[in-house]
Amino acid sequence: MRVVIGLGNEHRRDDGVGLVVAAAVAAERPEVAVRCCAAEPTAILDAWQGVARAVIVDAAAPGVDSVPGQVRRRTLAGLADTRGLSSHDLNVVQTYRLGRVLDRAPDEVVVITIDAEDGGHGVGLSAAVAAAVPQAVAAVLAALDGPS
Amino acid sequence: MTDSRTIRVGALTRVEGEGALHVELRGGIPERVELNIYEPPRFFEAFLRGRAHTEPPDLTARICGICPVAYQISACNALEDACGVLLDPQLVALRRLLYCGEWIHSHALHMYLLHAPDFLGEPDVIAVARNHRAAVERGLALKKAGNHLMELIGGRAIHPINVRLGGFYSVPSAADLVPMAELLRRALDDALATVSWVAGFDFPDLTVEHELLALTGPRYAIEDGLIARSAGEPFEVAEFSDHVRETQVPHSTALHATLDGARHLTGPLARYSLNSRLLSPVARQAASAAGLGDECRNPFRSIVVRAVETVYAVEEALRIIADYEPPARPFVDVPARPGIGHGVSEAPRGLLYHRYEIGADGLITAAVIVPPTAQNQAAIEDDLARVVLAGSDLDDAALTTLCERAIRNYDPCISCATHFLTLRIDRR
Repeated sequence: MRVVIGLGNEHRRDDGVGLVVAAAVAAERPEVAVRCCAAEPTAILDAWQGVARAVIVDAAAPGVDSVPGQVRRRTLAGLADTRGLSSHDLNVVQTYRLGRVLDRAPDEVVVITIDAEDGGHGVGLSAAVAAAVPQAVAAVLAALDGPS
Repeated sequence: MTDSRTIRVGALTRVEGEGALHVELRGGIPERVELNIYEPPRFFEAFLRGRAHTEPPDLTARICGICPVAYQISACNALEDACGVLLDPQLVALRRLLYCGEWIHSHALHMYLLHAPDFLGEPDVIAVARNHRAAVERGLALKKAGNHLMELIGGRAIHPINVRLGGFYSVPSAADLVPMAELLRRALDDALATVSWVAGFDFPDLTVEHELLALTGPRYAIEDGLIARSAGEPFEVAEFSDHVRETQVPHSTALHATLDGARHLTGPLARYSLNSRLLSPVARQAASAAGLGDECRNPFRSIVVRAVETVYAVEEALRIIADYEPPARPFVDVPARPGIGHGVSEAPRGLLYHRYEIGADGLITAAVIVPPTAQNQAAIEDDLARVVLAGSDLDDAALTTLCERAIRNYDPCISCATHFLTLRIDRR
């Protein structure tokens, strides 16, 4: 079994793109298991419980090398184990490490990120990020269907 | 070892927000202990001015992702007070049920993911899971039960969206609560096992003499109450600002607060010590079996108090569900009227006060928010001074670890306080 997990906060502008992409995947491929949640450990551990491959789609915070709307395929090993927006909970990488110890992690995790432009308060994606949604959906489906 | 030394911790971990600690020792005596909160001020009180009187519950919930319900309920209490509106008893019970969800989720998060590693000599919960797998599974199940309760009543686990001034946008049917009761019955077993587990930890000796401040009421206070203190008569919520004064200190972007000019403590230790007689028989029995007396003044044992409070919150949730009758209306109208209102509730970290002034046009003209972590800063600094004095012969690494533990006893929420930790110890 494989699952698509959309992460994000729809009230922080481009941080909601993971949820938008996950919803688009669900609409295009109703047979695909799609979950949406905040990056909270118990929800993520439940979302990928018993699956072989999880495809996580989330916004990437603006950084030095970011290009708003740029879609990137990554592995968890390629993500920095950094403090996220909250230091009071576990981030995705820490949740995966905890899941491995508890035998509650998928065999494989692929991460599709979309470089964010605006992480401010409010709803709605920036033009560059909104325009990248179809490409992100295609990247998620390719990661879902592709060989290990 | 020299007579004087400086130890610095650049950024505290397993706390919410950004802060540092600076300690200077002269001949083994702590001369200067400062909790440096450098997270930028967030100006909530300023930007609430000019907003509609209906907006603070949702806006102030954004102060914290761990305790948004506390902000929502204190805001509602204050604004309903200003407008002279009382809620139907069923709506008050539903608020308490939602708040129980936040206590269960927040306490489970702090005990298992943030605090337990300190007692087990592990760096984080992932390392704890390698050696205490069943315990971590239990903690995650407890946290999940709290999250589900918040989703059921509040619409979602983080920043609930179903709370409004006067009550809720929609209320559950009795049938909606049946599966939750089943989940909570399992959570009660997990909560009781948690008390036994944490009671077996080793606790450093520390007894604090701060005055205690917590709500009290006919039941163990959660969603509202009268303000009780350990060395004086209880006072009304409207008198809060007469007794609790905020002051600015140079080393912190969060205001410090004092109770009648002296350092005070709010949070689990204060709640328990002032209200343990009001706990349910099962929670009292668990406390007694864990070695707690009628009061607890050792901050390192706060993890035991949180475990007991988790038992209570689960039991309270079950009681409210068993007695539940759907409210006749999901909310009471709260038309704006000019005036001042005060509201309090017991956030997981302690007493949270809101005060609003509403103008003739129905807009907020003034707002004051006093969160628990801001109130506890002076108490935390005093604890640190005591810990540093008792441990002055420790090497810098061991002393630093002990200082960080002393701070995590409070589950400080720096993001709330700036509405927190880099450690620097200076030995000279």
